[in-house]
Amino acid sequence: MMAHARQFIRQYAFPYLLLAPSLLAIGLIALYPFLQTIWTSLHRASLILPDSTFIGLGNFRRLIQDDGFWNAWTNTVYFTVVTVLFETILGFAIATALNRDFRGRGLVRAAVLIPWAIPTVVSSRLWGLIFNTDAGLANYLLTSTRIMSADQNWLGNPGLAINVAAIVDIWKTTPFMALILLAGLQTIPGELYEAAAIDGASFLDRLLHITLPMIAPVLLVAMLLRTLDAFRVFDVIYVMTGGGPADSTEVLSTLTYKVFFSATQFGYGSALAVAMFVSVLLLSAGFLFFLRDKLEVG
Amino acid sequence: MATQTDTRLTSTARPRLVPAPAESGRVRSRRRTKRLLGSWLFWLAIGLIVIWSVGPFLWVVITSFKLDRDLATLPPILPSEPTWSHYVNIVSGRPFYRYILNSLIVSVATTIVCLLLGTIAGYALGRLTFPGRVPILLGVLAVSMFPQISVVASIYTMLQQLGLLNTYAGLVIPYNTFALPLAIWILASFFRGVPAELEQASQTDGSTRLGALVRVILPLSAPGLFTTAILVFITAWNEFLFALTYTSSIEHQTIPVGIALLPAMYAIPWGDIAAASVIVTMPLVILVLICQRWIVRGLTAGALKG
Amino acid sequence: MSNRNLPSRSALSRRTALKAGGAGIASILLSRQAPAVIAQDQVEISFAGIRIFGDDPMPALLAQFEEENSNITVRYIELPTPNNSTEIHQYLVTSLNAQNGEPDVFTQDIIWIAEFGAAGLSAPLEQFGVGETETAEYFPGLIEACTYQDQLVGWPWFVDAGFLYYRSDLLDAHGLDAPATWDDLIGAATEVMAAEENPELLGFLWQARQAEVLVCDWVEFLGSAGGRVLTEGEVTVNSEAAVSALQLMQDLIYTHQITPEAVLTYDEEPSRLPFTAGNGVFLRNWSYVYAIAQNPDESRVVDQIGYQPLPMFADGENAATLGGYQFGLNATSAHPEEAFQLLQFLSGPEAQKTLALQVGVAPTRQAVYEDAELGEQNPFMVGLRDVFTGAIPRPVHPAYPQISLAIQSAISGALTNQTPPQEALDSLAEEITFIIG
Repeated sequence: MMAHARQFIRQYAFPYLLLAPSLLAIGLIALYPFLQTIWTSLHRASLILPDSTFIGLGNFRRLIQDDGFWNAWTNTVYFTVVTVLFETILGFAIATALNRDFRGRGLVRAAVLIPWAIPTVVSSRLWGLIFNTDAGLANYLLTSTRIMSADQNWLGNPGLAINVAAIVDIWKTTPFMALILLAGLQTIPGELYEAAAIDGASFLDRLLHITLPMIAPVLLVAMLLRTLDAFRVFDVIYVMTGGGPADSTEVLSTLTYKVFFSATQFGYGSALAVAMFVSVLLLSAGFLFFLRDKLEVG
Repeated sequence: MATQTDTRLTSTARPRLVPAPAESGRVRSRRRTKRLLGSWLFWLAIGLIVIWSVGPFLWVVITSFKLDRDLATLPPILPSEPTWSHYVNIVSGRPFYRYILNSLIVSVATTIVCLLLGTIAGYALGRLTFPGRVPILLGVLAVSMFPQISVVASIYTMLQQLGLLNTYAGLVIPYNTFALPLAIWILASFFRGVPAELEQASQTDGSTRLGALVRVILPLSAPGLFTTAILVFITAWNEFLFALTYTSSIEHQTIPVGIALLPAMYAIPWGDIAAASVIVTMPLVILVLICQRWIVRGLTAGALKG
Repeated sequence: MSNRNLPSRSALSRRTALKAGGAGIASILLSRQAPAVIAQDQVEISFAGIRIFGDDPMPALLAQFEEENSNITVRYIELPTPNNSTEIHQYLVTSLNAQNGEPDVFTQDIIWIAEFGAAGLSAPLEQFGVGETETAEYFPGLIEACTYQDQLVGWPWFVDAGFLYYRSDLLDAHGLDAPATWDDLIGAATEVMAAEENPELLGFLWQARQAEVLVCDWVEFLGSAGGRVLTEGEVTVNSEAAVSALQLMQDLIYTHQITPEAVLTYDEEPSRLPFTAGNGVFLRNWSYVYAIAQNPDESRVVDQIGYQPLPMFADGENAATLGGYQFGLNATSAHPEEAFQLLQFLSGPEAQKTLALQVGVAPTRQAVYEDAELGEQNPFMVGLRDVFTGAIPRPVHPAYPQISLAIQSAISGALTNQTPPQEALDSLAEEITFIIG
C-alpha cells in the first residue's frame, strides 16, 4: 500500500505538489484581493459613511453615466494605442539595426537598455524638466534650431500633454520591445534572405514576405504584453501631470486612485477598478483570439 | 496543442545551446549590410538610437551639477559654475541612505522568494507533463495581467489585517503578484531547454527527480536563474504604486517613493532630485552593462514562450 | 471596505502564526520597530507629523516634551512634506481607519478636519476640558476650521495663506505703486513688461495645475469678487461674482497676456522658479517663497521684492486662502490623556515660537506675534498677521476631497478654453450639489 501511495504521488500528484506553493501564493495575494475588490464594488462604501450598504450593480450604473470615467477610458485607450504602435515601430527599427554585426554592438545594446533601467518615477521627473515650458531643453532646442517659432506649452496644452506622457512611456519601454524583436529576428535563418536576394526581392518584399511573417508570433506576443502594461499606466501620469490639464491626461489608474484614496469612495473606486480589469480582459481576450490563429496556441 | 508548443520552444531554445549556425548567419548578414546599406546611413541610425536612449539621462547628469538659481534659465546648457553640492546634500542626508537600504532589502528578498517558488513551479511546468499544465500556464499569465490598481486596495486591507503594513514583508509579499508569474514563465522556458537525456542519465544513476533538478538542471540553467534574478530585482527596484501605498514612513519606503517625496515644504530642490536620480540610476546602468547578455537572453526566453 | 468591526484578536493570532511559521528572515522582514522596553508606569504614544523642512526641528521638540513628562515616550512617525498632501491623506485615511490607536496624535491639512471628524476618526477635544478660554488664544478662523458640527475635532498648529509678491525694484523704476485692484495689477504688469527689455519677463505668476493648489487660487479670485463656493450650505459657485472671477483668470492668460499659458502646468514651485530667477513681476504664492527669494544661492532678486495681500475687484475685498496643518487626536487612542498633553505642548506658545524662529512656519496663537524676538528676527511673518486673520477657508465639508476634485476639473477645463466660464461653473454647481446632497 505504502509503495503504491508513493508511486501515485510520484506519478500524478508530484507536479501539483511542486506547483502548490506558487499557486497558493498567487491565489492569496492576487486572486483573493481581486475577488474582494469585486465584492466591495457592489457596496456603497466610503470613509465618511458609518456602514456600507449592498447596492448590487448601483456603482456600475453610475459609472456608465459618468463622463469622467469615459473620458479616462478614452484617454487610456488612446495612450495604449499610441505607445504600443510607436514602441513597436521604433523597437523594430532598433532591433533591425542591432541584428547586424558591427564593432561596439555590445555597447550600443547596453545603451539601448538604459531607459528601461531607470525607475519610471525618475524618468517622469527628468522628462518633466525637459518639457518645462519656461526653461525646458525641448523648447530651447526646437526654437533655437528654428524648428519651432515659439515655445510650446507641452504639459499645459490639453492636446499635447497626453502625447508628452506617451513619449516618456515610449522612451522607457522601447528597449523591451527592441530586445524581444531582436531575439525574434535572430531566429530567422539567413538562407531565406539569400534565396530572396537571388530572386531579386526588394527590401520591402523581404520585409513583408520573410521578416514579418517569421517574427509575427513574437511580435504579437510582445505587443500583447505591452498593451496590457500600457493600459495600466500610472507612474508617468501621476508624476508628470496628475491628470490635468482639463482632465486631458486622466487615465483609468489615476482616476481610480483619486476616487479611492483621495475622495475615499471605496465602493465606487472598486467599481472603477473592476471596470478597468474587464476592459483589459476584453482587450487581451481579443488579442488571444487573434493570436490563436497566428500562433496555434491555446 | 502541447506538442506544438513544445516543438516551437525547443527550436528557439536550441540556437542558444548550439551557437554555430547563428554565427555563420551573422557573417553573411555583415556582407549584405555592406553591400546594400550605405554604411554611413547605418551608422547614422546607430547614432540616433544612442542619442535617443542616452541623451535624456545625460541631461539629468548635467542638471545635477547646476546651481539652483541657474535651473530656471536656458541658455547656458552647461552649468556656469559646476557644483557638487547636490550630491553632498543627497549623500549627507540621513534619509536617502535609508531609502537605498530599504530598496535593497525589499528587492533582494523579493528576488529570493521568487527564485525559490519560481524554480520548483517552473520545473513542474517546464519539464513535467500532466493534465492542466497549459491552463495553469495561461492562468499564471492572466494573473500578471491584473491591473495593479485593482488589487491595491484589497491587498491593503489584507496586509492591515495581518499587521504587515509598514514592514518589508508588506512590500515583498505583494511584489510577488507581478514578479512571481514573470519568474515562473522565464524559468519554465529555461528548464525546458535542458536536453532530457542529461536528466535521464542522472536519474539512472539513482538520484531522485529533485536531485536531478538540483544537480543537473539548475547548473545548466544558471543563465536563466541569473536573468530571472535580474529581471525580478529591477522590477521590484522600480516599483512605485505598492511602495507608495503600503509604506507611509521613511522607515520602509523605497527609492522611487523617496525621490517622489524629496521636496521640502513646497520647495522642490530640482538639483538634488537630479543628483538623487543619477545616484539611483548608476548602479542599475552598471548592472545592465555587466549583465546585458543575460538580460537579453532572459527576455528572449520569456517572450518567445508567451 | 470599512474595517471598523475588524476583530483584532484574529489579526493578532494570524500575526503570531506568521511569525511562528517563518524563520529568521520572516522576523527581520516583519519587524516594524524595535519594541521599546517600557518601564512600569511608562506610556508610549505615537506622533505622525509632516516633515516641515529637510532639517527637521520635530525630534528636538519631542525630546523636550519627554523630558518635561518623564512618564511619556513619544514615537515619531515621519510623514512627507505638505506638497505631497495626497500621500499624507492616504496614510491618515488608512492608518486611522484601521482603528487600532495608531498614531495617537497626527497632523492634518486644514481641509481634512471635517472629513475625519465626520468619519469619527478624530476625537472631540472638549472631553479634555478645553473651552472658550483656550480657543480664544488662537486666530478665530482656525478655531472655526477645527470645528465640525459644534465639536472641536482638530487643534491649531500653523497657518499659511496666499498673498502677492512683487518686484519692488521694477515697480519703483517705473514709478508704480503696489496694486490694490486687479486692474491696477494688469496695468502695472503690462507697463513693466513693455518697458523692460527682457523677453523672458512674465507679468503675473500663479498656479493652475490640475491639483489642490488650483482650488486655493480659485477660492482667492472668487473671494476677491465677494463670492464663495458654499454660502450657508448653499452652492454659490456659479454666482455672478464667480463667473467674473473665472473670466478674469482666463483674461489674465489670453486677453491681457500677463500670465503665461504655462501657468496651466504650474503648482507652487514652477511658478516660483521664474520669479526668483528675476523673470516675474508679480507672483501669488505661500509664505515659503520669502526665505528662498532672500537666499543668494537660490535667487537673483535678493532685497528686490515686496509683499502684500492679493488685489481685489473694484467692488470686492482682499482675499487669501487659509492653509496650514493642524493637529488631530486619534479617536481610538489607547492613551488619550497623554496624547492630549503632547498636542497641547506642540501647540503651546513656546513650541510655536521655536518653529517660527527655526523653520519659519507661522504661529496660530495671536500672542506669539507680539513676541519681541520674533518681531526682530522675522518681521516678514509678523507683517502677515492681518492676511492670516482674514483668510478664507476652503469649503468646510466632510466630502471636501470630492468637492476639490470637481473644482479642479471644472476650473482647469475653463482655463484651457474647453468650456466657457458660465457653463463650466453651472455644471460644477450641479456636481457639488450632488456631492453634498
